[in-house]
Amino acid sequence: MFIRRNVHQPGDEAWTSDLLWYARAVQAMAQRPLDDRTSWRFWAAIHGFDADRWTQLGYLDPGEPLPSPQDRATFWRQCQHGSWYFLPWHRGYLFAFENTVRAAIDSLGGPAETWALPYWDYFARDQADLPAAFADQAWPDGRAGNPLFVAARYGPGGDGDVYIPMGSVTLRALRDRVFTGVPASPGFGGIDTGFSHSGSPHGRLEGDPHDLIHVEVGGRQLGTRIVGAMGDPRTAGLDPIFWLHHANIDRLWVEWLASYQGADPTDPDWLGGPAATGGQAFTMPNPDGSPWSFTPADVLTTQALGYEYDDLTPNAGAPDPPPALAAAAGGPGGAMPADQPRSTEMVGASDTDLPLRAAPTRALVGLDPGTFQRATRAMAAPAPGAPAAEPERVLLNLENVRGTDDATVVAVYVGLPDGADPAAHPELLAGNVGLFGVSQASDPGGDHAGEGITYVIDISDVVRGADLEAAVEADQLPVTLVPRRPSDARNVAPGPDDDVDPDVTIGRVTIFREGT
Amino acid sequence: MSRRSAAGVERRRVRRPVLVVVGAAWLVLVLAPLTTGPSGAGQGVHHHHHAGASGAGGPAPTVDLRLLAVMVVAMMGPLLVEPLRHVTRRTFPRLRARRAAAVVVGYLGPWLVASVGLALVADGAATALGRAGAVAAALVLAVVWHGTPAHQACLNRTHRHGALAARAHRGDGAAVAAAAGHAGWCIATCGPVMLVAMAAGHGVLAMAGATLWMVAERAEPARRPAWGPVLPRRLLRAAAHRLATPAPAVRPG
Repeated sequence: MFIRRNVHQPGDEAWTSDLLWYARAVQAMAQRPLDDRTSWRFWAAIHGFDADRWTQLGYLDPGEPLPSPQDRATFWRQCQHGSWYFLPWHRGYLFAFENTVRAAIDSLGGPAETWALPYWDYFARDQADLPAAFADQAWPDGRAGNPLFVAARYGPGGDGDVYIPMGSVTLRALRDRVFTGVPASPGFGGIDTGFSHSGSPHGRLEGDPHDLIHVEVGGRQLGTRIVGAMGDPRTAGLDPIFWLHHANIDRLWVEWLASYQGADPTDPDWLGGPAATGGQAFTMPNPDGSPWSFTPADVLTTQALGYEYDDLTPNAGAPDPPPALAAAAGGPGGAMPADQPRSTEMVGASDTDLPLRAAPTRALVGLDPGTFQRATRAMAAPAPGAPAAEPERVLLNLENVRGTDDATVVAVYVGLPDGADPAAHPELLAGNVGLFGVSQASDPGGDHAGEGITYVIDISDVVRGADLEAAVEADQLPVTLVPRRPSDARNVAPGPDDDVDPDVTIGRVTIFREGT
Repeated sequence: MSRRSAAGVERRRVRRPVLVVVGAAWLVLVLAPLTTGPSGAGQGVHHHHHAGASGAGGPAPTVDLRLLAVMVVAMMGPLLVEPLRHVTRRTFPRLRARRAAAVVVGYLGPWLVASVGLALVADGAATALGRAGAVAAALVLAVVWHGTPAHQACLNRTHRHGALAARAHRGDGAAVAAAAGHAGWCIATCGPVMLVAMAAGHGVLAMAGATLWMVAERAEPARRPAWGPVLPRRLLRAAAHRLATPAPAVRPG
């Protein structure tokens, strides 16, 4: 059994043996031609590909030949986002990639029998900075050309200093006991899209932390509109840190399932993958280039794939550690009371087509008289006999977000008084949204047909804790959207770059209640 | 025993009543006597001889709107499921029925108007070219149209369901407008196929074939507009998978 370990190992050693061999394999794979199914760029294109973006970032020469149309149709542009296949597809993708890297390590004379992909646990105490081996342009012996370093990795301030800002990401997704939900409340793992091709919301784990990490790491180059490789699904796989980020997402799925045993879907349409509904089968190259097709049913456990994680304990350094939900569900591994019917109802909606500004954008969400109050009352006092682990929840949807600025982090405040400084009201901060994938989803010729993406955050904590009486009385709940400014991340005075309005439009802000 | 997803359950909740109405419409079409005109045009077009018309050399076509309406419900009803799902899940609970009605009116109304026009065109073509000629001409038109980038762009637009205004009266108008706009992209996408079915004049079988094509085409994902046909592979692959895989026991979620 291979063991995936935390990239940060005791002793402050930046270059562990695992990382050194990873870097050597990355270099070897990067030297292979694009049409080689085991090349670095071929693997990145399995996640996403866009000739213009690749050329912009220097990963594709103009006129460079691409693999055969059949190879591109079979392997490329498969990434599953905004779907309940997000987690199983990425698990199979990482597993097959790890095998290819291991084969490269073996060919280089490295420890192929023990090497496993490390993970980056940005929630762990003092581990929010990009691992040092990825930030250094040189190899540990001082030679130039460290392949783990990526120039198009701009970070939250756009200046190449890459770290995850305090409070940007949370582990709230681990509270969601339901793997798959409905569009307004997509559940931990995303929704069953069926034959629909509209812009489906990202699952809770996909939204936070997954999307936000992509956006924070990739960032936007200061003074330009150029988004870093990690900030765009079409280029994300080019960055070697992508794989460590997704190993951590995969680890969080394992951690979540340990709390809610049996909570993964059992629907045959999920177990059978998109091929069950006529979609493209998940197909990866083996180390010898032969195709390997898999379904979610093939990747239900990491043990079945021959690997485990060294640590699954909820992290004490996380800004929002998951509550002891297992106990509430009937003890560790307790049965999931998923049979309880849950209803999701819209209780508030704003006007349509709100342009996002560099300055805080305020949307007044008109509340349906009575319905929102019922939700807040139910949150304050659960119905007699209602299980404690199935509380009333309130969810905020940013519907049909369209634009070109993927590298945008938007802080969402609920109930902020008009004219108030958002920074002075952290208690009203409901969460952050990273617009990962928004430009691709806004492309009329893309998979989403230009529908954009709907982002969902759980605002129950704010609704429960804040004084929203005046808003409820007026049947209007203010929602303030605050795009992160580069100067905020760099802790300097705002400059001209901070005044540029993002090219982003919010279709509508809506609020839903979910309860029994 | 496996369990259906919440979204799957919600999908069925909307789809079932729609399919009941669609089934009833098909039943009417099957049981109703064929009203094919002398020229061989499809259901819904009658030819009445009267002085002025016969003097001009032929019967003047009139349109049986009731029959066309039933036909539109039968054929376009399956494509209403996604717009209905979208509007009902993203509106206030007390307004859901109103919004659903607005979507039905907004969607089927333009289709009814378009069907009248298509029926008259089919009848005219049948009169001028005979049934076989009319079918051949409509088929050529449909095949050429389906291979154009413009057709793909229209098909892509049918996958989009934008954000809707929420408030009561404004919301009703917005829902009607959105559904009418959606119908417009639908008509642009599928109109020539509908024309083939009408020109064929054989009623139920031709209409059923056209409906299957339109549903299968709609299951295809959006893609960059380009020259080349959109083959409805996804539904075929799904059907093949279903046939090849034993159905597990499933309980509703």
